[in-house]
Amino acid sequence: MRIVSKRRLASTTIGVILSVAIIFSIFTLGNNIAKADLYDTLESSNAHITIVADIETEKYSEIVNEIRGIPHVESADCFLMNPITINTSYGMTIENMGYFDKMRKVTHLQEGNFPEEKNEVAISEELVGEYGIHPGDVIHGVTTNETGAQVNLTLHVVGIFSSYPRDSIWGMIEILTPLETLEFNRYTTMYGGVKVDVNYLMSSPDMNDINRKLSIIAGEIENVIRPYSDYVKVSSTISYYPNVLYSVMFLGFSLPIIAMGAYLSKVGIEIELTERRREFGIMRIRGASNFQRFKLLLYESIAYSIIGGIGGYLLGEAMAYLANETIMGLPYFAMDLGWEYALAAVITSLFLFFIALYKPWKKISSLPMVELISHYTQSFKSVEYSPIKDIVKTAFLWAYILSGIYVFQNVSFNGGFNIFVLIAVIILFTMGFLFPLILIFLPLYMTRILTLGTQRIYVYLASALAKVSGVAGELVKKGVSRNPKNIAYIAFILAFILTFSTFISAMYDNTLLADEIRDVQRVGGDFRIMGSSYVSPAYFSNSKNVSSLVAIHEDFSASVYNEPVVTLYCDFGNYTRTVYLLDLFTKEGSFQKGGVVINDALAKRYNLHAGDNVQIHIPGEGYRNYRISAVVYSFPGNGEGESQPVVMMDREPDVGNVSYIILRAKNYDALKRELDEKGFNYEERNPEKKDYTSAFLSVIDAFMVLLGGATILIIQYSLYFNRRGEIALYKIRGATKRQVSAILMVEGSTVVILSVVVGVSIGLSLAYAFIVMMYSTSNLPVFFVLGRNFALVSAVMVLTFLAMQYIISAVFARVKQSEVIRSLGGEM
Amino acid sequence: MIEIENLIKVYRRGEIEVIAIRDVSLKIDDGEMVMLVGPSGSGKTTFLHLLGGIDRPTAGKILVNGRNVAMMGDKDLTDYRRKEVGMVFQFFNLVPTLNALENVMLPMQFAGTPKKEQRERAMELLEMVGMDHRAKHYPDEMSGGEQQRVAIAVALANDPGIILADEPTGELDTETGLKIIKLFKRLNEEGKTVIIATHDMRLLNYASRVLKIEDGKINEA
Repeated sequence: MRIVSKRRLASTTIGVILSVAIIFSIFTLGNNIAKADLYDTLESSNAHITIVADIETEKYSEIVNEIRGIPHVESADCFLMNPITINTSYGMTIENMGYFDKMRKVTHLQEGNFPEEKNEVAISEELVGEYGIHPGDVIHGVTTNETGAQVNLTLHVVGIFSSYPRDSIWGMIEILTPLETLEFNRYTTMYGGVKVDVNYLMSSPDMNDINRKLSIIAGEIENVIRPYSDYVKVSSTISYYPNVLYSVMFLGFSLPIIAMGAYLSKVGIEIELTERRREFGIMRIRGASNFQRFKLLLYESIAYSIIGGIGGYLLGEAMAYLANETIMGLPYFAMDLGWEYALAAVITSLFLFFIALYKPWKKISSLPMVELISHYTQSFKSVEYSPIKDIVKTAFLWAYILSGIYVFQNVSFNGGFNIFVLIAVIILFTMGFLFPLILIFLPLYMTRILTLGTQRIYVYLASALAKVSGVAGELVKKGVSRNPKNIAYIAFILAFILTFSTFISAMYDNTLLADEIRDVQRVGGDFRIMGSSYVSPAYFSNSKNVSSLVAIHEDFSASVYNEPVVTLYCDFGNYTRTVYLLDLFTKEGSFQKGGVVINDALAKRYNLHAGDNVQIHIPGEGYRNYRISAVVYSFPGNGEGESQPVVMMDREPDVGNVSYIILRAKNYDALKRELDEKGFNYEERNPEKKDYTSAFLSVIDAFMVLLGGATILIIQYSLYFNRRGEIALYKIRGATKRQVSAILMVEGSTVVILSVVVGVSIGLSLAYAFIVMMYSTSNLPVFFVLGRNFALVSAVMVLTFLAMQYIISAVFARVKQSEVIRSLGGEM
Repeated sequence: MIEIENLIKVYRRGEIEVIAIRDVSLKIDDGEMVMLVGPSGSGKTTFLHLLGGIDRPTAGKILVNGRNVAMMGDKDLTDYRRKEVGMVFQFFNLVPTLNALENVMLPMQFAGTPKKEQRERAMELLEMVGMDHRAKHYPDEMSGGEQQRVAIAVALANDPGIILADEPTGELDTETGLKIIKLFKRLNEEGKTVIIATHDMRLLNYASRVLKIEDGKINEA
């Protein structure tokens, strides 16, 4: 007896192989993304180890050089700092005075010079703003030495600096001075941040090694400082705990595909057992017990599971590697190789296989013996199916989705409790468990109705395709009635894949759009410069990197109908030229010169519209009526949330009274560099984001393409294998290979198109429902686009499925009529 | 006219070679009704498949109206099957999802005959075999004899000169079998060359010529 035949092996194990492959591939990618995440954290961190120590002031350079010489230390930024009370025209203030050997390299001089002589100082721009101190001024300060005795210092201001980079640890120094100034104190507190070579930290595959390596280097640093210090504290700022979040999240995304892989195996097993039922019938006639028959299947299943487990594991690791090489490009990538993984894969495979085997085996065991040994075609085609239940469930799930869309488009969570709010809350609570049900069962019910229930749509579609292709229409129209169950299997799996891929790609496109809109809402233009005495519109007007700008003054003293409002003052011409996507944010009217624009929150509260008059009280100006020229959902550049009432008036703010400036760049990167060099405090529209989501979704899509392709190959192979007699007959009746191939292609394409229509409509509706829900809590209208990802993913899926169908059609069009007619003559 | 010269067909089943047709040479004139008799496994079906362009010989020539079927390429062979021969099988081989009319139309569809013409000719053929009243019925709604009559109409669809029938009465009762063989006789009288492989010795009375096949060798009976 042959335990494993190649055909059986392929049709029953490919689903399990794919499922196991997806599990291991996702596991490995998840681990590596967590590792990359840690790499990014280590790379972007200014210091992996921090130092606080009271050291002998004059030994500073010696200590710092020794720390910098420790193996694997990439950089050490250590500075001395001593608090000092200074006397200003505004009174006494305590500031940090310090020495940093890299001060010339890392700080930007706004004015004057760096201090070189004892008791010379440079002060931060913040001190200038607060106390009006300038280069050339002399400041008097009081501090203490190591014994606690008071020391009076006279300091000469020679320069003004801005810290660079803005978030550095030495940013706490307000007064920079040479080392000699600090020598009045024998012991000064040294603060430091040490960065270790990231490649050295990440080199080991054991991620817990990172903590150990950091501890060793921290110990070596402590050993350097200890002889010169009576107080040392060296600690690691980074503690690595294996981050399983990515693996868990990715596994969650992949679960439906894993389940569908197991389902494909179930379909393969069911087809296989249906084809082998005569074998099982004969075994029963010859006296084999149920257990003896199951034992045969068990041995086969174990063989399949071992092959499926090992195959899936190797395929999964290979795919993870490929995904990283082609899509993700993670800086460090390690495959999870080892016998324990292989064993886990075999156990997983066994588990999935027996789940897949359960139903088909139960079904075949319960069939009467006569039916088992009867001729193959007599009962294989008969399907007992009543569409009523599926129609009711489909109607319920569609009603749920559509009512969700309607309710969330009209609900207002700020307008008190009403029926919309109640339904919205119910939908929010139920979505958690209904979403996966919709994702899997709606495609199932719909494809069952369209293949096992009414076949009218299939027939219309097939006829149209047959007409276009010029093939025998009568034949292809009846393609679905030949074996409706197998057609239903293919249609369901493909429709599920398209539902899921459409949903995630449309969600991704629209999340990107929402992110872009939120960034514009937050920043307005390319950069939003926060106000200070150094922020002047005139400065940016002269910058060659700025294309337009608007200065805005934000005031909180005005009121509308005695209710306080936020008032924004700016030149409307500058504003409309500078901010992005203004039309998207405008609800009614336009920004007209000399007009007043209000936000939707204020408009709703007093039922105001563009063209109405509104009474505004401005201190010093009294009450006045203003004509509303526009109502906006939100003012770009005025932050993210605007549930409070806001009014914008067309008035240029006074110089020195600017709250923030919105810039539109001619060259984004050059302007960013300029702002960084000048030490401006800003928000930007395109902050650097490490986004692995797109890469991960591409991997998921790739798995779905594989699963869909495998589905077509496995199920159609079984279907056509049993139709070889019929195909041979076509050829005997004069059909060419091309004609046979076209007949099979049209039949298969009809199923693919049917699945595309079902899958895309469900996927898009689900994505739209989620997007509507997402926007319902924002103060913006719903933006929904069919973007690049959706178009690309759908096109790749459909083309792959059609290509698979083409291949399988071409293969079976080559059936040799002589062999098949001879051996299957009676099986037509 | 069919001229067969030194025809040999060898099958390979694993390591074993089976000689199905052993150096056969014969001539069959147009309008003959030939019965090919012989035991199971003697090579009857193989011989018909070679004549019908379903299978290719290992060696030898099959000249049909002067053209060597054995040397034809795929395209010419398809054309030959479409226009010059019609096959009738023991198990009828109708497409189960098509009704009688659609089954008869199928070979004409493959040949590119206009739809209206297909329908008219299919109805004529069904009428000829006495099955016009069952045109809309599916194979599983018809008896064996009815199915075989439809299958004969299918074989005649593109008006071939040669009808090849492999055990056409094998699945039928005696009375129905005789009706079918009379139908073949009528076709032969209308000018078709009919070659029937059979076990049924009662049919030999209808033959103009009987050939006996044994171990792949064909002799006049």
